[in-house]
Amino acid sequence: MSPDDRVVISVNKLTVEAGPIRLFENLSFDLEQGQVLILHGSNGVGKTSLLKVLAGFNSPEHGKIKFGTRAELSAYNIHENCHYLGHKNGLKAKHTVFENLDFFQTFDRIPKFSIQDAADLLHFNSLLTLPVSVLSAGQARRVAFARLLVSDRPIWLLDEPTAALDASTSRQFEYLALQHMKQGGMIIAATHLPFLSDHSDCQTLNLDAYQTNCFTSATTADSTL
Amino acid sequence: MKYFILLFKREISLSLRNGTSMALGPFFYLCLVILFPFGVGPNMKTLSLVSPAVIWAGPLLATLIGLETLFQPDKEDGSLDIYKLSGHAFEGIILTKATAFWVVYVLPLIVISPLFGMMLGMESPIIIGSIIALIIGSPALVFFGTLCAALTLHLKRAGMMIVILAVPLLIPTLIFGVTASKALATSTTPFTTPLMILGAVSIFSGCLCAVAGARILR
Repeated sequence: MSPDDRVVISVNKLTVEAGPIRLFENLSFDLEQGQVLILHGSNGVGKTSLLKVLAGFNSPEHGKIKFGTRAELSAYNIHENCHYLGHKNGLKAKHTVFENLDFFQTFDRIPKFSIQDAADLLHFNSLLTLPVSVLSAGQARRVAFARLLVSDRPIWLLDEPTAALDASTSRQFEYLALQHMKQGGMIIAATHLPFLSDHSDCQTLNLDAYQTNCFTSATTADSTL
Repeated sequence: MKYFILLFKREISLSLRNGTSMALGPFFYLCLVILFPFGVGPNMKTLSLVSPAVIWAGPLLATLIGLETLFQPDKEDGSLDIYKLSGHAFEGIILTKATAFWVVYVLPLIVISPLFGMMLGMESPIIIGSIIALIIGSPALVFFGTLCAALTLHLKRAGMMIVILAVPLLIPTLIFGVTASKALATSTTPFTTPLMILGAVSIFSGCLCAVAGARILR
């Protein structure tokens, strides 16, 4: 594959605000397929806000995000190409694990692993018939992670993927993330814990370096309350 | 289309498993029907004269109260984010959710209406007219309510706010609904004219709810 055919996310001079606070400015990075970007930074620096902007839930104040092959970078349309695993798991408590995953598999259009295989990989085979409301936080997180496996999307946006997980499950997440990268996927993950940190294609980005944390012009905290 | 049918089935099954909130609407309606005659007094003639208004106001308020649960759970558990990224038209997702809500929440209210009509001493032509008018006009209640539920999603305890915002939008539906309900018995007004207006309002509100709701929630 020539370098021009490689799929890339290109972020150029991004400025993101949350309410009256400017979180960071002039953030630029390129991420090619098969690469992972780990976002570090202290609490409130804007890791989650950046992921939400990348997922298209919020729009940035300035700057551009492009997605496509190197030869043909198109305007931003990664929404349909990305999985977003936020703080919330996106599972319906009244439905069983199987019903939840079955819905995602069809609804997200392109299936990948079968639900049975995903359950084997993440060790929740025995939980498939239980309603999500009875699962522990870690078990629910595993099921939420399985959503990334049962339907195929190249970009994974992960927000604290391994919080609330035991060590062996965290390693299993890392292993599955590596598999996804080897198949040409891209991962952007915000975390405080070591996640994929020993991998060679892993870039890290410390948002503290871009932090401005100032109030934007003519707005104070009081006026928005 | 396949995806919206899938979502529709999911919404129905989720509502059915959440039985208590589903039963709330009919019971609220029942309370209204029980309380109303005490206010009107023992004159049966007065009661049957104003009862079409109760048959409309009951489902209207019960629907608006139930609408708080339309988007709130999806926002809390993160499903709304998944729907946004699904790549399916968000307008379609909102319409699907509103339609599923109509089926599990409003349809039972319409089905028990004849019984409540009899309790209020309504004559059978008026009961039949009310049911037909409710079936054609009630989608507007849900669609306008859905729009207000989308607007108030980020408020805490949004339920009352939905009622306050939606009631002014629902006045035309109520006027033509009650007119249509009485038309079969009085024959001074034609039956089909208010029905056609009700249908038009329902279709218009459906379009508005889909387009504006998607803009608001995105």
